[in-house]
Formats: sequence, structure tokens, C-alpha cells
Amino acid sequence: MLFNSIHYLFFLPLVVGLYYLCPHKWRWLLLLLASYYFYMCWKAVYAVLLLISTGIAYGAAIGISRTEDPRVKKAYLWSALVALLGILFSFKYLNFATASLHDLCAAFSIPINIPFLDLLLPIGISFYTFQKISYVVDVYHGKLEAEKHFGIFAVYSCFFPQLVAGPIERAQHLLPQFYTKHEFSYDLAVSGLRLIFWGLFKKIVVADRLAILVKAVYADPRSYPGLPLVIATIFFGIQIYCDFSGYTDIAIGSARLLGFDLMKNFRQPYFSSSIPEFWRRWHISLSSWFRDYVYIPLGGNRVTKWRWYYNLFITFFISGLWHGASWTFAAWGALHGCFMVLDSAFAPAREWLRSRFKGLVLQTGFEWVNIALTFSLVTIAWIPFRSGNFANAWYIFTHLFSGAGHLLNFEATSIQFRGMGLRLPYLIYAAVFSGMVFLYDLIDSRGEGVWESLKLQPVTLRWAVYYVMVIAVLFFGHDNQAQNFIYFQF
Amino acid sequence: MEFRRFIKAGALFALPLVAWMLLVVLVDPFDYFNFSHLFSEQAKKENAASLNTLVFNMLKEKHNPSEDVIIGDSRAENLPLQYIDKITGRDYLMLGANALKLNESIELFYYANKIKPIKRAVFTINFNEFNEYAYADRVTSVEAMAGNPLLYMFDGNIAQAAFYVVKSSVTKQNSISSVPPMSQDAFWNYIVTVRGKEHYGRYSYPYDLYQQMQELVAAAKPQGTEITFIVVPNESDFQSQVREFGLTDDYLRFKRDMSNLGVRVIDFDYLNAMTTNRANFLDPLHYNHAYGMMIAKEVFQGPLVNGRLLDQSWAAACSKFLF
Repeated sequence: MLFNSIHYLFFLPLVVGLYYLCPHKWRWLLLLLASYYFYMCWKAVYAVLLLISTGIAYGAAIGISRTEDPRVKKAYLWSALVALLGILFSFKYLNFATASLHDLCAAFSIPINIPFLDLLLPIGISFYTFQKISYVVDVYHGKLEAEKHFGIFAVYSCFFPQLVAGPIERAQHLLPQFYTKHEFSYDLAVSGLRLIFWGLFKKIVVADRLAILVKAVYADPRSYPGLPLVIATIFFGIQIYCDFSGYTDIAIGSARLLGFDLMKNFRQPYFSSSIPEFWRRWHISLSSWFRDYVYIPLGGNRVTKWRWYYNLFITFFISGLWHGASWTFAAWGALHGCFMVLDSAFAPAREWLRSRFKGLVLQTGFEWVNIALTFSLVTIAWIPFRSGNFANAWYIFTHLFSGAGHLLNFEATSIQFRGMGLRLPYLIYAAVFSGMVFLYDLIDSRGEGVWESLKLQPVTLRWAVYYVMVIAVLFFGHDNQAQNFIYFQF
Repeated sequence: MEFRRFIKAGALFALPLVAWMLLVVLVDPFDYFNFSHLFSEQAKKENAASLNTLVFNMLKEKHNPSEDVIIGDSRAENLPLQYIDKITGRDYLMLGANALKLNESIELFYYANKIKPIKRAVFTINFNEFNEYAYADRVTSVEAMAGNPLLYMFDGNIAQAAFYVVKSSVTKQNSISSVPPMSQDAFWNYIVTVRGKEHYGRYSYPYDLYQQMQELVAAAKPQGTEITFIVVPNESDFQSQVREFGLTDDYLRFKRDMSNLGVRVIDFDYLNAMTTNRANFLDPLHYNHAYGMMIAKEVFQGPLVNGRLLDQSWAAACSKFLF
């Protein structure tokens, strides 16, 4: 079930209504049933996989908590990790590994014939696998008590607002909330709804409009010269942000309606002034997961300089592969790994420059240059992420500035965009609304937050803003036949 | 208490939206619900249909499906439907829409065929649609709207049409003008130069589209659907744009591929006494009513005088020039 579907429009109020009517001791069961129903709307049989991975994590954690023997604890941990990652590997990476092996053998003219499996990628598998891994590892390290109640653990593992695309919640934060008796709160419900509509606005009004041009150009980049390639790449950067942060907002808002608090997953990432800062603001639940369960176990920065660079690079490389079973995703991760290494190497120089500008008017300019530079690097890195293959990615990289001489010829420029199924007004709306999203982020990054400021305004103004949002969602949702969220594929 | 307050506020907030939905149901500019007669059919036709012919015609097909359809862009709409019905004794339904692209024409065929199996489908086509870049994607969303009243009630086009229907009913004047804001000569030049560049300035052979056409012909055969393609005429000024943009070979290839489709294809788009006479056209792309009557007579009754049949022999002749 998609958050932006009519199905969800009926599902959510029903669950919320029943949740508050249901006695506290049975609420976990209601949420469990609702979450499994939510998941099974996509492909019922894969709910078994979800249940198996839940059983593995639950059993391993209980096993770890019941023994004092470190070797047995370790055995439980590794068994769980192998089993969970094994499931993930089989469903997500096996065909990719087979294809890579075929390519490698073909390069050396070695005959090989490993069959490919006809498997559909279970939706949200990367998210719920990582959530369970963090749980088992935390129990192993003693940061957390193993959850005894299988039902509560199962609902933590499949809580529908964050099941298919995160945020990847840590058990310390989410699990205890299932024991809390939530009373209906008007303010919480209103703020939840506000987030849901803001998320839908970002997804339906902005991301899905930008997607039209992005889809057309990236489906056949060789048909387009530089300008459409540049615009499509920038649009994709905005699209994926609005798509994913929109999803997250709907997830957080939906959970809030039920009285739950999910972690923040984005903090105005495109206003970052360096790549490390970008990763502290983009998909926070995943970057902090990689920090805690990959980067730090590898030694983090408490090692030699070269080993530190290696740790950074390898963490981002794996993070790229987490996003998808393709070398283009790995390349995206590797690019970010390189950016991180370069940033670490040049950080002292940047700090020296920053200190020179401190207190001067130029300081703001310097920050904006850094923000623009970071945005450009992140945008360039999106090219392999979106391209689907290296040939297209390379073509785009090398043709970004082709035909730049004709930019001032409006007629010639407009013809470059022919054949995309674009409707100019919608494109203008998308550009304007993208600006609104950036403005929202800018205001949010500098003060208390847009919604908090709005709360202080008269009810007429507040409602006017809400109506604009709701009407835009309703009217633009028309052309959006419940398009998938980009991160669902991961 | 808090819950009750929330429900109250929610209901209050939803009130204008519910009122809007009621208004759309009452005005119903495209006769979606087909029960409100508060506004005249004429007002709806003059306003809603001119604003979005695609929605109007697709919904008409939904309510009154026909087994005989004419599909194409505004040039298809220039064919005299009543005259065609008279000479054929059938009830053709116009599924034309302004600026309809070939991929959309094909989608429209499947849409109509799903509602009622089609016996006779007449497509209008021209080289300016036979281009990979001549692409639009409106049919899917209108089809979704046809099946979901919520989408109808919250659609920009419907809102605009509803406004015009109400306005024209109140002021007793047609709100939508189709007269271009320039002189006839200036408009003629605009179409030749600007539209010429739009149509031919970016061309790529549409392999996918041609395959879709072949699939359509193949799908039509088992159910006995009779398919006809009319290559509608452009005025010679616009025809010359093909040469101007160096697309003569592609144009020939288009004619050859049409000849190879294995269905009846009648070509009016070549230099002849009709297409070299401006008086036969409203603008370089649109033939006038009299010429439309002539085309309709030749296609639906015969014999062919200006139109020529594109068949295998034609394909062979084209191939000689091409290769």
C-alpha cells in the first residue's frame, strides 16, 4: 500500500480510530495486524519473509540475553547476522552477484553458466533487515535488554509507518513506545496531519512533477544535449529529496497520529556546507546506522590517516550497494566516499579560510559558496545513481555542457525539450513549489521551524496555508496515479 | 473531549471541500455523472469541449460507446461527422482531441475497444506526428479519471470548465474564444515557421511508435476490426517544411512504412491542386469544412480522386528512392 494512494486515505483513519478505541493491552495486536495487512497489500507471500526475519532477530536476542558465555553470545550474534544478511543477499544481491560473475568470466573468456533466479525484491527488505541487525547488535553489546514479548517485538519490526522506507528506528527509541499508553492529543494529531500533507505536497506536487522531465531525459539521455541533461540532473536531486523526505514526513506524521515519535530523517540537507555535513542531514537514520555498525567497528577515525580514509571510503561504498544491486549505486557510494576522503584531507585548509573570513561580510558569501559547491558535488553524484548503466552515466557526465552556445536562442533551446510529455504550466508549478520547499528548509534551518511559527499566526492564515497545501495535493494528485516512492526499490 | 474537538475541526475544515465537490457534481461540465441538468448541454459543449476535447470525447465514449470510431488530432475533428454518418449509415464516434499525439491515438483505440469492441476505426495521421519526440501522455490520466469520481472533482481542467460553464450561463456569452490574437497572414506564417520548427526541428524515427501501430493492427485482426489510416493533408507551405528541415527521406520512409502496415491507408498529404490552394485551409495544418467533406466522401464512399491508396506497390516505389 502506498502512502499516496486512496487506499491509505481510508486505511490510516480507520487504524487511528480503532487504535484509540482499543484497550491499551490489545493495541500492539491491532498495530501488528494493521502493519501486516499494510505489507501484504503489496505481495502477501513476502510477509512470511518478514515474519522469519523477525523470528531470527527475536530468537537471537533472547539467546544472547540468556547466556553469560561470550562465545555463545557471539555465536548467536553471528548466526543472526548471517541469516539476516543471507536473506537480504539472496533476494537483493544474488542475481547481481551472478551477473557480475558472468561479466567477469566473459572478460577472461571463461565459460560459466549459473542460472538467474526469478525473484521479486521484497519491498522494504533493506530497511527492516538493518533495523533488526541494529537490534541484535545492540543487545549483544548490552546497550539494550532483549524484548521478551514476541508480539511487541514483531510490531516494532513491522510498524507500518516506517516499515518499507524507514526511518530505520533504533529499538531503544521505538520499542518502549509500544508500552506507553497513548492518549489522543489534539495538538499531536494536528501536527501529524500537517506533516502528512506537507509530505504529500512534496511527493505529489513537487517530486512527481519533476519526475516527468527526469524520466524522459534519463530514459534516453543520448537524445538530449547539455541543457536538458543539466536540468534533469538538478531536478532529480530535488525530486529524490522531495520524494524521500516527503515519504518520511508522511511516516512521521502517521506515527504521530497514533502517538508515536519517529526520528527525524532529514535536516535541510541541501543547505549543507560540506559533504560530511550533508551526510549528517541526509537520510540520518541510515547514515547514523552505517556510522555505528560499519564505520566505528572498522576503527572510525581512531586509526592511521590512510586507514581512516579507507574506512570512510569503504563505508560509503557499502552504503551505495545498500541502495541497490547495481554497480552504478556502488559508483555513487564510491563517489561520496571519495568526496569524504577529499573533504577530510582538505578540511584544515577550509577551516583556515573560514577563520580568515570570520567576522567579515564575506563570511556569509563564503558559506554560500560552500553550500553551492556541496550541492553541485551531490548533484553530480546523482548521475550514476539515476542512470541505470555506466554508458548513460558517462554520456551525461561528458555532455553536460554540450550545446551551451545556443543557450540564448530561446526557440532552439525550447525545442531541445521536445518529446518529454511536458506540460509547461506544471513544470513552472514544480519549479515554484521546489522554491517553496527550499524556502521552507531555509526558514526551518534558521529558526524554530515553519510550523511552530505558523502556530502563532491567526487561525485564518493558518487555515489558508493548509488549504493551499491540501488543494495542491488534491489537484496535482490527479496526474499522479499513486507513483511509487523512489526509496521503495531499496 | 480532545477527539471530539479534532473531529469538529476536521469537519469544519472539510466543509469547503465538500461544497466544492457538490458544486462540481451540480455543474458537471463534462457530463461525468450525467444526471444534473442545471446547466445546458450547449453551454457544456461550447465551453468544456473546447477547453479539453480529450476529456469530453473520452467521457462521451464511456457513456455512449460506439463500435465505429474516428481517432486523431484536431484534423480528425475537422471531418464532418454527421455527413459521414449519413453516407455510411453508421454512428461514428469522434475520439479526436487537440494536439493528440500518435501514441495517444493508439491508447485511445485500446480504451474504446475495452468499453465496446470496435468494428471500424479510422485514424488520422500525418508525418508531423510520426516522430519519436511527438509524445504526450494524457490518455492514461483521463482514463483513471473516468473510473474515479474523486479525480474528476479535483482536476484543474474540470474546475476551469465548470467556471466557464457557469460564467457563460450567467452572461449568456461563450467564454472561450478560438480566434488567434493576430491577423490571418501573421497566423499563417506563425504556423509555418514556429510550428514547423516545433514539429520538424527535432526529429528521430519513431521505432517504438511504429511497432505499436503494427501491434494495434495485429490486435485488431482477430476481432475483425477494420482499420483505416487517413494521412491528412497539410497545406503546401507546411509540406515544404519537411524539405527545409532535411527530412525528405524520413517523410518517404513514413509513407513506405504506412504502406507496409497491411491496412487501408489513404494519403492526401502530397502536392496536388487541393493542397497548393490556400483557400482550402483554415491554416497551414487544418483543412476547411469543404475539403473535409471531400476527404470524407472519398474515404467513406469513394472513389478516390485526390486521395491515393498507399499499398505494397507504393512501398516498393518509396524504397527505390530511399535506398
